[in-house]
Amino acid sequence: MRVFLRPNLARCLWVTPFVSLTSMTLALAIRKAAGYPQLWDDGVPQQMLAIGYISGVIGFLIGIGSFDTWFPWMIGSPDRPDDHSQHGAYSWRDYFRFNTDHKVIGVQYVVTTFIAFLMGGMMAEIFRSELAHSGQGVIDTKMFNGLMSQHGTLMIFTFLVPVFAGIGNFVIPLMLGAPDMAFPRLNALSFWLLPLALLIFLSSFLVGSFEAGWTGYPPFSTEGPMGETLFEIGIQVAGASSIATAVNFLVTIITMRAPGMTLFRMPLLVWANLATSALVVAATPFIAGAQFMTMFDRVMGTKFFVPEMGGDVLAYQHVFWFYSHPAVYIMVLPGFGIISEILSVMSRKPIFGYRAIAFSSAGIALLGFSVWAHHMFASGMEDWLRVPMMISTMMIAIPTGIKIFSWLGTIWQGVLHMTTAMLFATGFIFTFVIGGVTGIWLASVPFDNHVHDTYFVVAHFHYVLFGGSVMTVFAGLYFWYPKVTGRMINEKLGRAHFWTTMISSNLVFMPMHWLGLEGMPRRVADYDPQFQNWNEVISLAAFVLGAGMLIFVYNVIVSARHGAPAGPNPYRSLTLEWQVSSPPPIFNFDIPPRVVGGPYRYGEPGAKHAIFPEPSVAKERTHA
Amino acid sequence: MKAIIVGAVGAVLGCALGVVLVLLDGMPLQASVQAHNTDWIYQIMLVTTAGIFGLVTAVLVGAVVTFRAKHGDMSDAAPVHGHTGLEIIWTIIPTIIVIVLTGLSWKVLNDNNVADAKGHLTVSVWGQKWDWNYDYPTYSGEVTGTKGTFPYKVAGIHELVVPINTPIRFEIRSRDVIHGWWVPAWRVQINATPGQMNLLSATPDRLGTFAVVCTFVCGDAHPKMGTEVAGAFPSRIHVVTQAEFATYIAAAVVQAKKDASDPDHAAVVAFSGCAGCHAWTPAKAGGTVGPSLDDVAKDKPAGETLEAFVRESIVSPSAHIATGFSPGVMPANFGTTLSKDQIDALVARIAADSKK
Repeated sequence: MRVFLRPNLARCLWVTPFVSLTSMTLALAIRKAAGYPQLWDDGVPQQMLAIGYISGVIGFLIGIGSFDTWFPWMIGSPDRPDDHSQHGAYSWRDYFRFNTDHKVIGVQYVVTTFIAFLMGGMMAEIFRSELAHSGQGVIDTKMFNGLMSQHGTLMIFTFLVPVFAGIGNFVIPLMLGAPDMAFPRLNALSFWLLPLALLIFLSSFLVGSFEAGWTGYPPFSTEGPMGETLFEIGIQVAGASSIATAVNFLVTIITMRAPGMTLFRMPLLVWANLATSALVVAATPFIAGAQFMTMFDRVMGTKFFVPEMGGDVLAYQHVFWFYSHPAVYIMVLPGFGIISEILSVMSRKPIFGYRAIAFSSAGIALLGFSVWAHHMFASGMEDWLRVPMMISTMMIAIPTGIKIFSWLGTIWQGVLHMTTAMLFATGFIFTFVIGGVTGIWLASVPFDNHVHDTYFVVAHFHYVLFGGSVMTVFAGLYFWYPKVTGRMINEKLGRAHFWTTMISSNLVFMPMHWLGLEGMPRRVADYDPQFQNWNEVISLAAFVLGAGMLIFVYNVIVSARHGAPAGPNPYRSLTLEWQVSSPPPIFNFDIPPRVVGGPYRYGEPGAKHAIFPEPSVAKERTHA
Repeated sequence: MKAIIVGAVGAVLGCALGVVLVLLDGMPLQASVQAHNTDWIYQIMLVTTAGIFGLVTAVLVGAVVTFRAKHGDMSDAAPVHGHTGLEIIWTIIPTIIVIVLTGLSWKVLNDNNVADAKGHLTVSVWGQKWDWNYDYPTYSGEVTGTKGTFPYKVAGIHELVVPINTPIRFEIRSRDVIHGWWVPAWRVQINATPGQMNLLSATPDRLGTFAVVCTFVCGDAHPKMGTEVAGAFPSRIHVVTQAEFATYIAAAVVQAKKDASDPDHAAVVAFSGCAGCHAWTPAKAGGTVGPSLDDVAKDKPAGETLEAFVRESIVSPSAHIATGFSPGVMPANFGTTLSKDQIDALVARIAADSKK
């Protein structure tokens, strides 16, 4: 029985429903005392749903043990010295509890987000089978809208945004020479919000899934089924997780660098993460605000977006995109950082134009705040606002171009080791350029006014987010796999995964451009029979793309047991995470490193990024 | 140096690819002045950026092929950290390209806007679940007859007729949620946003019938809204000669004046909101989202008058669901968007037709 009292998932099993039901009962009691109508009157189930879920989130966090240190501290109990009992993983069970080790949290993040990725992908496969033929087929429009909205929501809020927090969590403290993140408990709290957000989104299928897409524009979202309220709560939870992690990264990067790690000796992934975290902290409150307002319209009867009552429908879009455009950079800047790491190591050559790449990240982050309304060129906002937004959107191509050219400069005349990670990194450049190019076209207002909200836009952002972000995620997962597991991943399966992904994803997303140009709108469960042929090709390729992911899952599981031992530094990398054992020691560095030079000094004989003042694992560097 | 040659060859090949794509032409038929303008900037962007794509791909593939490590090669490359000249060049050239593209796009944006051009025709567009309706405010007015003064509206119910080579100012509004009004052949699109009027303009320059597509997800029958989807009752635009339009509009004005005081025809006019989803012979409507209105009596529950049943079905549509259809599909706000007179007339006419 004691298992139900200690902080763990078993305790969540009773604390979550207890807190949730208590809050709902309390709310109903207050309503009764005040003489308001009782259950099943208009709006009451909706309000109970909101109260139950929000308090349920708090209940779960109490159950898992997020507040076990903070509560006693708040009531003035005597300080308990931290015995580090929550830190590190000694068995698989330690991955299922409140763990403060950034390496454990990194793995928890990546696994959770990958589950979300597979679920979102499965939803896409279901609606692609509907779209394979024109006419009503497997699912009806309501189901289609639900799956389409869930697909976007899961992929963005529970996969692409947090997966980079996961990779960063594992890698960044190691790269900085730090023993952990700055706020380990906050870090664990941020992670545990994420599976909750995923469950909240998925559970909306039970009460009528949200249908207004991941953008949730009112008034369609404010009049939608109850699932829309869960969408709004889920975003708050995922957003809170995102903000807390970003604050943690900022403080860690600013204060916890090893001696000698000046800003311009930081690996570029750290730079990218710094820019991303600043974006997250500044922008995420806006989507929180947007979702609070739509939720208040739904459960509290406010009139933010009710035009008949003086509400303004466009206001939502401005606030929403003020987050959601920077969110695109939140989903791609860390990927840029990963690519910079991989290209340099695998080319045995210093990164080309280190400072230009670092500053272009900052430039993209800054410019990213001035382009949001390019999502609204057809919304009917003030006409004159379209031109400045077009100019700033076009300008963002410049720092992005600098990065791409610098990467080409890095691999040119290098000694290229085409591992799977490197294949994904170079493949990323190819597909991302296509997405970048169509981004320039879409910035042009007259062209956008033709293809706005069509399959052309779907093609564009899948090239950016799949051809861009997802490729970098895979590159990163293959690259750091030996560090996490201590074993090499199977390269043959890796190459098979790369080529199926590369070929099938292009077959899925390339024809969408033509569909959009020709006149097929997005988010439709059915279409004009003239678009039949390309849709068949897309659906078929989408199934292949999905099957390719199974190769990856199989590879990850099998290589963890049967892969060749990796040793601390299989790629002969200079950055700090490779100077410790694989997997790293429980507190990362048994001897604190001292940084003496840049991170990419390949080709300089005897050059070092860091030294370990005492004899250390660094001496065991393999030369295999 | 070799990199520059590879890049240049790639850029040329990329531009050639762009030209091929322009010649293949993925766009729909050009049917407006705006379509010509927009396709022009599209083609310029396509060729230019295909050049950039070609350059990047050529250097990428060139590097991977040329500089691949031999098996067991453990050497490092020369420690080149950058090249200031090159970095300046690849900042400045893209900057020039985007400035030019922005300028040209701005020009096309201004050229496309003919909303206030001399001699323009104004058309009101109303989006609602799940149909488009149109009227011509310029030709609407009031008519005084024996029974008093009635406002009349010259309306193109569900379909729109416009003259060729005339700048048209579209005033677009929504009666419920956001819809997107897109005429692919004209290359123009804008949202119908509740609570505000959005402006869009086009100058059709080709005769014919063109599809209107709803681009904004708006509920169960969104895919059928205006589009040529199987089972839909597509809302189209007919572009006719100016002489034909003059004849059409003159007849429409006469008809509208006559109808203004005729309750029976008013029912058919009010039907404009129903045609997207329901079939009804008197209004020549063929929608299949909801049940046909030609024979409403067969779904009537026993013990209710047909008139009461039709009225209930309009103002609270989920009260009784016809066999084979789902609840919650029909918007529940017709009780407020239609006037009492319109509902009375509709109920009387639908019930009377069904009894025959």
